[in-house]
Amino acid sequence: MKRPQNARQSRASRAPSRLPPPYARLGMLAMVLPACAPEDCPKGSVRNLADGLCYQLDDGEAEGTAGDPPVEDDTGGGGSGDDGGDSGGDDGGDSGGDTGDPTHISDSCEPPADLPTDPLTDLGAFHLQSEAFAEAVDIELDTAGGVAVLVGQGGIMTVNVSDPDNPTWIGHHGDDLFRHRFYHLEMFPGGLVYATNWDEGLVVYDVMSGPDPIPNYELEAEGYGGMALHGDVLYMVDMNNGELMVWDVTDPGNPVELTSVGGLSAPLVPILHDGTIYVADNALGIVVYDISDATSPTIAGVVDAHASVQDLSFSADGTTLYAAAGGAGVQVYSLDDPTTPTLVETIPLAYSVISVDTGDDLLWAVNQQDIVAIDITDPRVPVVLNAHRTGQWSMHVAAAGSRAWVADWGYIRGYEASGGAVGSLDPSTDQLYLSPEGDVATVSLMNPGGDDLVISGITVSDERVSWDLDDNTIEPGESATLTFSWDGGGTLEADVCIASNDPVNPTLDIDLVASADGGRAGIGVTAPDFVLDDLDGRTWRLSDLRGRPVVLAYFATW
Amino acid sequence: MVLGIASHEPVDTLTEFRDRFGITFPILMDTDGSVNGQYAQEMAFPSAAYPQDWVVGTDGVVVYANNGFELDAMVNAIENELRE
Repeated sequence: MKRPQNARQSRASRAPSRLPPPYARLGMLAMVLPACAPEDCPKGSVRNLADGLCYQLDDGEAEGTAGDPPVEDDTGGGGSGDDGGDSGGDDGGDSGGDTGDPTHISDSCEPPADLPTDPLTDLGAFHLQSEAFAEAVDIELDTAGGVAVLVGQGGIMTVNVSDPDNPTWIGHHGDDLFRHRFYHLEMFPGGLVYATNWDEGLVVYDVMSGPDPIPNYELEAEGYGGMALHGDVLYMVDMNNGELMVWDVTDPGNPVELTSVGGLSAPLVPILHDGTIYVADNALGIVVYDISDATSPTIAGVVDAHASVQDLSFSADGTTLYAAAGGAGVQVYSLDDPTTPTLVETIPLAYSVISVDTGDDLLWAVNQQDIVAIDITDPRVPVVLNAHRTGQWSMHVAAAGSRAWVADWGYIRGYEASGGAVGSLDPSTDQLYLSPEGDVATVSLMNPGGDDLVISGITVSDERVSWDLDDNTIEPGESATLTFSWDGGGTLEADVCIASNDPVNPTLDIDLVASADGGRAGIGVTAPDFVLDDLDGRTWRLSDLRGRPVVLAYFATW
Repeated sequence: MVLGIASHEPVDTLTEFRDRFGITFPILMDTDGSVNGQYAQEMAFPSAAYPQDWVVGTDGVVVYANNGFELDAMVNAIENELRE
């Protein structure tokens, strides 16, 4: 409801070869020039750092770059024939050492013949919102991995995931849409689940006595957050007071608070290993507590992560700590000295990372867009395998073995990973609105995958639009800019097709639209007008505010 | 002029939120999500999540949009508009 369904999948389902033959040659022809040193690239062309070749990305017509080598006549629409010939002997002396065919952008949208195998597999999904107002923000698996428990604005939900290709609904508790703002959950052996909630504090549910979880303990409180269980002791962060609380849960149905210690600022989640607690603190970084006396934690250190730390997980051998560090990506810390985590590696990801979890030799990360699988066979040398866009907003991940389950706002979906890294194409939009009076607009082509993404072909179905791509080889976590120009004049509905070595979407479409009514909002487009009432009953019409700048701040209370 | 917009949220929740954080600008209720459909969805953002900030220029044309909070960039966009 708040985000469209998997845009990438819907694009992939479109026929990639629908362009009629006359259009196939209308994209700006990129031709490979003889290999040369950077300074030798002719005017109007650029050297591709990946293969050392010069690429001319314009057709010489739009920009009028006098002195450019002549562009080959591509009459007949067969760009691929020219390409093979050009690449033949020219790259033999290339210092870049690329002895294969140099990859360049052809004016066709045929996917490469030798696509890699995707190491990341989508397993089954269940649409939580078909049963409850889900908005799931946390997920845990029972120790056997057969039941997933989720919490969110829809309350607490249980899903049977024992058949990973076909997860099925078990039950839920909590229908009061905006009074069930759950944050975190912790599963106890035996079927009790602790859930913390903005409005209700702490609730203990029995999830095994019937299909619907039964609340059998409630403690009204504010600001309770993430939890970590350690035998008969439960640690829980108090987000309002910046404290680590210690609870006696010898009787799990009747928790008793023992004590609390300060030292936190904006704590989210504690995790513990071998006598030490690490707290993800959104403001401070990672706060370390010594719990050699389980009921009397003492601060052992604070690591300034220079990033917004939102979740933590250990490698299977406990030697390495992974932090979901927001826009910084995933941070990898050595625990050689357990009380002084030392940053050894940062994995930049295309979007802001909010949750991590580890299972076997895999580290999983989610970022409200993607699920990212990372090989950690060597815990200190993580290798990003690939990323898949999830159905809605990927909020939290729980790993077990080679699989992971993602709480994805409206969905739960499983993933499995094995194999080598591949590139992934993720455009910043699949619909670009241009001004009918003429426009230059850009799409960012991101690579959230783990290997180089190579753009091999681009076509645009309307010859009035020209395009330019600043780099056809996009490294993991990086992006390239695809720029469209048109001189205006009437309406425009053009299809852009991009071919790449992304094994999931080897061809991918972007729609270009220009129309007088502006379509949806976007930079450079007249803001769609609206009339809305405010909380005090006043009515606001956006167009009445012309003449002064207006800031529209979209927000949510949760 | 700052307008807050919230979609699919009831009056009570929004009022409590406004009071809790001492918000002084008007909070507009997009109860049925129709404005959300025009602005907040399927936009040229890497992520369509909340929050989103838009700056509409003096001529009604969008001059800035982002869904991460970038105070400097937003202030620049507003100052550019005020200079024109």
